[in-house]
Amino acid sequence: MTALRDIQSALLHDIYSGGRDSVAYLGKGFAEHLNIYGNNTLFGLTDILANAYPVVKRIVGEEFFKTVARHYLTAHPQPSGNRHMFGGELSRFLKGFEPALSLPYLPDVAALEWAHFQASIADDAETLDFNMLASATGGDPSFVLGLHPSVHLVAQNYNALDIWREHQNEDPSTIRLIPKEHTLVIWRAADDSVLIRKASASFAKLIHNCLDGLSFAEAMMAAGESVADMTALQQEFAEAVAHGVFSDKTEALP
Amino acid sequence: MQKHTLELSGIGLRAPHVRELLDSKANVGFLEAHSENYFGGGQPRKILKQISEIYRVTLHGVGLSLGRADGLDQSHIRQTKALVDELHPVFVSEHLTWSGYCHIHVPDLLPVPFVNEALDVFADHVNEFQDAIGQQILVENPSNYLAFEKIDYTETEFLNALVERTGCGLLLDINNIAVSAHNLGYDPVAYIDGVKADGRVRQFHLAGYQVNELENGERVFLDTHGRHVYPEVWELYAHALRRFGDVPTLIEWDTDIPALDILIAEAAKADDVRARVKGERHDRAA
Repeated sequence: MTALRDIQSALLHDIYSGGRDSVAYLGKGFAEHLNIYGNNTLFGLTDILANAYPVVKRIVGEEFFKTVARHYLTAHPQPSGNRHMFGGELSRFLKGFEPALSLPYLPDVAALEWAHFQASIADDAETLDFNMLASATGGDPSFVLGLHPSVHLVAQNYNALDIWREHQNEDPSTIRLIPKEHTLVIWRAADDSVLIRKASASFAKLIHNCLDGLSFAEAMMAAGESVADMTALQQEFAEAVAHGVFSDKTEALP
Repeated sequence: MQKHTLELSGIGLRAPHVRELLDSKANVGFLEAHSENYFGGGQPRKILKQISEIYRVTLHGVGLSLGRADGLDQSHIRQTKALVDELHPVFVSEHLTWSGYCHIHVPDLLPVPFVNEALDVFADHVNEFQDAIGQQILVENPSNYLAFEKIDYTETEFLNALVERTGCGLLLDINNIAVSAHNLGYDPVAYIDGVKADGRVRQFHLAGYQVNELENGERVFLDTHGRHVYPEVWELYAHALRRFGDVPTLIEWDTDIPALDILIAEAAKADDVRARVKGERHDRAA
């Protein structure tokens, strides 16, 4: 007897590649119908990608976006039954997608949009306030600071944020492209709006340190190592606390 | 706020209608939300919670892949359970299909070969899912565009056996029966008559399909949910009501989504058919 897993592998292969591995398992006369599932997948995933990347689509135009989607889904099939998880590799994919190389800022816009989309639907969580912070730091200096589940750090090589913001307008103006390495922090605030801020190198390091599980004291110290003025970092940290970047899920190190 | 009774037919909850549904209470029995659209948090989840405080809500999953030959995605189950715990849906439903295997998925509902191995897989997965969320699920018959050479059961035999092995209920999609019957060449009335009428059918779906012509000239019905319910589907629906009794019914409309009024009017048509069939029963009893 043919194993179910063989049939499922063959069907998925055919749907994504246009192959005919599964025909041997089908009733007579149904081979032509495989294209229906292939088309449903192509159109369905293109829609999902367009929903996550509206500005990338506006920049490249509908037809080119369909071409991008067709190539992307072959390289990176939908990874989970949660459709919101499809598309996370687009920025990296675009860096190697020859037809899009004339738009070197496009991977940055894609990275920004993916983080924005994911932040908008990330799990809810209570945020850290200054009273909790004072209580945690006073109680145990080795506590680990948690991040709100929506927080994303996004590395950028160009001023893609300017481009993305301009494309929120109906009739966007041309933005002068400026190469500049920097990091954005993107998260969802208490009112469910998604916020985007340029992070200083030290603040980005602080977030990375928190993600790596360093205690708050260690994370802050390591982030401030190369900073002449700790006050600026502390101020940036305070603003982040006020805007809900950190969660109330702090924990003491074992 | 008073919620509606399931004696009124329901409609699918779609983003363009949300504001209107929140602003003034629509005359529908219930709203069906696609579970996966509300995984995670943020505004979509909060809006669904508000909706559930006004309307009865059902959860309809499209991505769990009950028929997958490997194990169910535990994260998917956890997220569905969190929704169930938060919303207390009237029904939780999924499909007699699969859509993913070994970390490759499609945004579609794929056909199952109705063989013993597949029945074992479905029975295990339905039991696992019901145990995890703590309530019975309804399993929906799919629209199929192809069939497999080797089978041990017809689709209705497979559904009947699944109910008996798991205690799940059935969501009969009348449009899907019409679509699959045309595409695979069977009698839709015989299909309905093949499902046991012992209370296992707990919900109906109705929708519109699209007719496409393939390159070889063959006409195929596509389950697009993009137009009014076809007259022959209304007739099949009446036949199903006569066989299974008055069962909560939902209108699905997912593409070319019309104004809310049009959708509600389509649900009212279902109510008219339900009333007509109830009347026939009373006439016979008199």
